[in-house]
Amino acid sequence: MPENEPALDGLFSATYEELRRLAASVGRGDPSATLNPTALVNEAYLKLATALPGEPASRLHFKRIAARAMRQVLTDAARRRTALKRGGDRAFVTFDEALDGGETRPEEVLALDEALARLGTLQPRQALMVEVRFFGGLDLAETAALLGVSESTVARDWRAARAWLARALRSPS
Amino acid sequence: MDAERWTRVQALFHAALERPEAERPAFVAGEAERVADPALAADVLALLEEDAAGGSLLDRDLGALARGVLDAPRLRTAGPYRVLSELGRGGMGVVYLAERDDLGHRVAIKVLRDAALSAARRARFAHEERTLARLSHPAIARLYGAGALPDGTPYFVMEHVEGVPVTAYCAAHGCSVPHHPLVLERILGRVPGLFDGVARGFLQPVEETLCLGRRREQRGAEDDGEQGE
Repeated sequence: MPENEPALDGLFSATYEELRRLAASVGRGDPSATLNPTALVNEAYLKLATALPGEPASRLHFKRIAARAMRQVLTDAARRRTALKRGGDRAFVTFDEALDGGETRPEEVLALDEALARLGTLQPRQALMVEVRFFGGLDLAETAALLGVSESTVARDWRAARAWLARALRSPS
Repeated sequence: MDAERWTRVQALFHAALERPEAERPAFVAGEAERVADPALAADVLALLEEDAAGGSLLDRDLGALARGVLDAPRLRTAGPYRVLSELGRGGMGVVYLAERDDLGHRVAIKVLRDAALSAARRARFAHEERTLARLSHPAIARLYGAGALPDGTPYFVMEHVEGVPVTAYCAAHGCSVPHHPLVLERILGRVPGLFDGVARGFLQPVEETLCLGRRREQRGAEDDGEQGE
């Protein structure tokens, strides 16, 4: 798998930082603006493809790494938010907790990350598919090309994975 | 559930989906009975139910999900300082105007954004802080101190300088910060040795947090006189 290649560690870290920066800037620029994963990943790719030394990764390959980075960015941010809320030194917490107006609770993001990890033990290809489509914004054709399967297989796998994840998120075990 | 079972559950799930919706429960029950596995029916029926229902997290916009976790809560206090307003923000940090009630002086406080995200970010922030601590010059906002918020997020306290950001100054005067040698000279030329190694990392904080304002201009002019430049 690509993440085991040391050369790609740097690409992942750079992508992570870039996506985090992009995602944060989108979030505060316009509260109603949607954070479009495809646009973000493309923007990160354009910036990093020229800036990174060495063999440039293929666009599809980059998107696969970017999707992982996006998942990590959001999961880490969610973990930090929940840790902040549960802080032992609660009396001293200076952040205004009333301003927790996000549409998705951080706990849900963490649950999705854990459920995806469990799906990965059942069927790694399916978990990767969800990751690249949901977090990386890959379309059906790109996902099929990346996984080396037909588009109809992707559609079938997605439907089953979506139902499985919805159930897993409803009753975390 | 293990991988082998998941494969069986999916097979029956897809087979059921090919049938009219009304026939699915009976079909699933029949197939499960055929293989003497009643739990299989329960698993597949649960999936079919989820399939028909909307509102899965995966159906939501990633932007909504991101906003739920990325929007930073507002800061009220940092150590002995009471935060008054936000002065600006960059990729690394947010700079606040703050006041210390007992001493009555105003400062600029830079807080690292998303400190928990990576060790590299914390290291870069600490490096900026150390760099600032080494520099003592009228053209650079002085470092007063440093600390950490209760959740561990580091911050440092700087002299607050009234004025406009150097980027706005440049926009108003038709020059660009990185490319205009006169601007660079004006900022960096006042600080001997700043070009050596420090400048590259320091110019970004200069853009982000420091101001090239009237007070700075006046003080700079006085310094020029004193130093006989």
